[in-house]
Amino acid sequence: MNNRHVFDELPAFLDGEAKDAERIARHIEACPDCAREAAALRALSQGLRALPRPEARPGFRGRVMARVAEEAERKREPFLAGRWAHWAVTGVAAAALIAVAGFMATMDNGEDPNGSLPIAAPPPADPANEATPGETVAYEEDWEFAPEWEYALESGVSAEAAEAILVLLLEEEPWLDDMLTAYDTERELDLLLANMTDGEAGAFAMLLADYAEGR
Amino acid sequence: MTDTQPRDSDDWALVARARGGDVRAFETLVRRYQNPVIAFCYRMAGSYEDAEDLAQESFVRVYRALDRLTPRAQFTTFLFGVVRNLTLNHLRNGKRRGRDRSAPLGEEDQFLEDSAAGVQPDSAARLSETEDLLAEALEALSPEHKEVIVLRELQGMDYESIAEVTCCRKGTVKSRLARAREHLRKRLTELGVTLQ
Ligand SMILES: [Zn+2]
Repeated sequence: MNNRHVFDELPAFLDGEAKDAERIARHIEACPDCAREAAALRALSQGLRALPRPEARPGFRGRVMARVAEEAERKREPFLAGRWAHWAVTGVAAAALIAVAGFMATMDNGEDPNGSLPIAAPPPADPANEATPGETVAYEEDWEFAPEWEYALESGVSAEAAEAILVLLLEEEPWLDDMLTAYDTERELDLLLANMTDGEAGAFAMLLADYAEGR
Repeated sequence: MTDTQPRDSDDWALVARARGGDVRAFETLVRRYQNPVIAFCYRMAGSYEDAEDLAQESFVRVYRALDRLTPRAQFTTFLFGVVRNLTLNHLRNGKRRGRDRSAPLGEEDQFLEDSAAGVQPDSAARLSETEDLLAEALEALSPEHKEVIVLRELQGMDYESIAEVTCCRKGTVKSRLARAREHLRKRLTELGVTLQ
């Protein structure tokens, strides 16, 4: 044996993710200790992969598609009227969304010990697919982005991250529920809006739009 | 990737058709991914009923998001990102949704309690004793350890995809996987299980 043990590198090696796979493979061949460890890890993986995986029961897809049909029907009707529709599609909403995204990102301190913020920062960008400002990424299809998502992309926030932030806010923030309960008349909404900055109002309108669409 | 074999261009083509109003294109996506999604939710949430509900809700969310989706990376990482968020929120908020908003949220104990209470032995496929104990050890992991194990071993995702789904760095995926496996092996040793 001519080099150090590779215990710590074995999990990534066995996952096909090690940088120096050849060196590790050579070491395992020559070192019974590391070979034993590798065998134990392999056995664990095999055991996990052999665990039963429940499948969709008959009727599952039908139930999903019934919900989807409802959604498709709803998509054909305008779900927002008047000022809400205006708010939801303007750049104001986009700017507010980015502000929210930026705010969430600043809260990220790397590893969250409690795992309380599943989407703390946008996922790592793939440089090959990254949109740069003023430049549209060439895709197979000619996509039309909704203005806010186009803006989000140009601002370096992925649509997935933006979507995830909205989902998170809707899922995680009881204040939204309370707010909607508290401000469910038009007059009260007007009062609420009057006390919000444009950005806040735009972001709120978007959340409300998603909420109205979704529930 | 095994279950979630990337068929990116095909997936995105279906997404484009669904956006244009072709509901059957979306149905093809549901048929393609319903089993991997249910399997993920089942291992995370512990109950088949919850897994089906979460899977159904996930597909509806994805459908709703079609207009805003951009064909970036893989469709499956987007899909599983949605599934994963809903599942974690379900684990966290289960008690709150049950009209008990004062209950502490996001505690590790809460997760374990929720999942332990939801476990139902799969009567259709009787587990061997070893499988049973391995499933038990997996069940006992924290959600962030469990999800990387399930995405890696049951869904066959690579580190890059797992990082996208769980919104963390590739290095974090690597260290979490290593720690998760350590926990599993320790627990299996305590249970007297030797995997061959
Ligand atoms: Zn060695």
